[in-house]
Amino acid sequence: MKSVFILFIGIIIFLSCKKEKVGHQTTPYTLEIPSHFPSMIIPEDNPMTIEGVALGRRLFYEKMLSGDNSMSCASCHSPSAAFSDTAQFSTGIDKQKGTRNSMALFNLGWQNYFFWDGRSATLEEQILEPVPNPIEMHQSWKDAVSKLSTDISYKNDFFFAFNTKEFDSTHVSKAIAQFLRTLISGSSKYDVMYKHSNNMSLSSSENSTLQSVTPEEWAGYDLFKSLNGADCFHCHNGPLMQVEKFSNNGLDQSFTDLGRGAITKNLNDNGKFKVPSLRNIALSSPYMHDGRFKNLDQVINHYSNGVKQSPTIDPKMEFAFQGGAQLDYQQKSLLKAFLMTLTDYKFINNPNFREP
Amino acid sequence: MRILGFICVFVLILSCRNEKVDEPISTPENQIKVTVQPYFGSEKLYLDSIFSFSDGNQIKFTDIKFYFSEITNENSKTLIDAALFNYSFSGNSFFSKTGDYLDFKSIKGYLGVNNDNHKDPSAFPNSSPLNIMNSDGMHWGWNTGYSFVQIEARADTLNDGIKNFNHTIVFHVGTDQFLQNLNYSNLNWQSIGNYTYQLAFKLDMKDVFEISTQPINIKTEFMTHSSAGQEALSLKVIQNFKSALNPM
Repeated sequence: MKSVFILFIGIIIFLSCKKEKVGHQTTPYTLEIPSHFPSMIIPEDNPMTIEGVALGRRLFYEKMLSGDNSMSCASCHSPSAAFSDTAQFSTGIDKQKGTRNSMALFNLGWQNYFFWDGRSATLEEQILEPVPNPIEMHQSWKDAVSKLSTDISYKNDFFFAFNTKEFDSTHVSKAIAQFLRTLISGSSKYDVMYKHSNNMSLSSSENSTLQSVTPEEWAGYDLFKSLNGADCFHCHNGPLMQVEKFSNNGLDQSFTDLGRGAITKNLNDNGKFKVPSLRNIALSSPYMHDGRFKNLDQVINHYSNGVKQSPTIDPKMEFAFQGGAQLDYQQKSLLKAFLMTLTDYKFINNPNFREP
Repeated sequence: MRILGFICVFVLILSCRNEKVDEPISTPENQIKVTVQPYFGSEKLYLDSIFSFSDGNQIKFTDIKFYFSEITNENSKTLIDAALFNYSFSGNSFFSKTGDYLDFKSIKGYLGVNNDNHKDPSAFPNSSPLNIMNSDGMHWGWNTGYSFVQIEARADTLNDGIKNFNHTIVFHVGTDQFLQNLNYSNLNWQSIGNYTYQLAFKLDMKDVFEISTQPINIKTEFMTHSSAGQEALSLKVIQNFKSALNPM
């Protein structure tokens, strides 16, 4: 009788047992989105977490991701250059150079295309490219992950960020994407000018910034937006300082690099490249997809009188028929003064974006 | 022995698992779909394809966009707050939503943006075509508000047999003074299956330029941004555009 009763209790205990899922709860990360920016859409399969962002930051500066442990993402995307490369073409671990200038990295959570030709549709997808690229970091993802796996602290970081003991390239790209989405630039003098011009409320510190805007900077802004002036606003406007599209801005009559056309195979896309944001432009030289212009003066001269006609030139390049907007010396100077207001020192000097 | 039987019953009870029971299938809601197909006369218009005007001038359109906002029926029941037609990005799709087409045998609204025109373009919901992320350059920084209609093209006006499309046409019409009312009645909604009814518009771009009442001469009338001094062409463009947009 006693043994039957014990058996009965034992069965009940056994059947009552439930497998508890053991794991780590991540902590949601709250992005600081400037008040004049649209909200950011975060992919459902890669929510922002404090653990993921911290891991992504570490990986962004991790040289083990390259074949000879000499390069990290930051090697070609330096914080002091608005996360771009001051060299015309970046040099990979095998001393090979690419053919396009490294793009600046900020406000990526609002982009729908990545790379100059827009060949990647998501940030996570874009991040997967440079590691195995033979002219960049030149290492298989298998080897990269294997190297990271030898570091116990990485194993822990991936566990805390993704609740996995076996991580792979997708976890690496997700973590870096989370970090990159935190690189928000929206605190330049231009932001205050934009908010003021659009009757948005300003904080007290923004009000003092507003007082520091010089007449030359305001005149340059007017010129920037003027239809009969520099006419820049067609492709560069709004809080992001860009219209996200692909455009041929009159650099060449014929194309050695087809740009978007090489991706779409559409002749009408030949010579078109992604329109970049002009934020932090003073820091991200050289300019254009091939880094052909070393400084802002050369860029302004191009749009003033260096525009070349070609079959796919953007109709918005309205002064192309006369080679450009024909700005005089003073106008060029005012325009440059305005472009300098796009530098976001708070962003550049944010310690949260530096190597941990 | 009774105890053993009791145990068996108990085990059976504890072993019972909740089986997932499928919910009964509910009747799907009706869907409304609106399309706009650009034409050049009787030909379907494709961007970057060459079309000829009656005078021999040739044109290649590179972009056609417009806003149709505050679309309601005659009793002010809202169909949609705003829709952006963006031919290069979305093809002939205009908008889709849940609703009963029978409520919208007639519709009215604005060619352009009315009440929302001067609001913060970043503050609209992510799904709104007025959100600056979705406006694709239709929001202006220089004259705060939206562009209502944008037509961009390159033309060959020399008629010399040499294809040289270097004559730029840019019609960007906006600002409150050029807002147009749109009214359509007796709409022909077609069932396209799956509880979806479609309303198709035809946009005849040839009409935009060659409408008999006020044709546009592309040799001399090829650019407007609706700024001071460009009123006449701006009005002509948006009025012609309104005339050229009709339900099929």
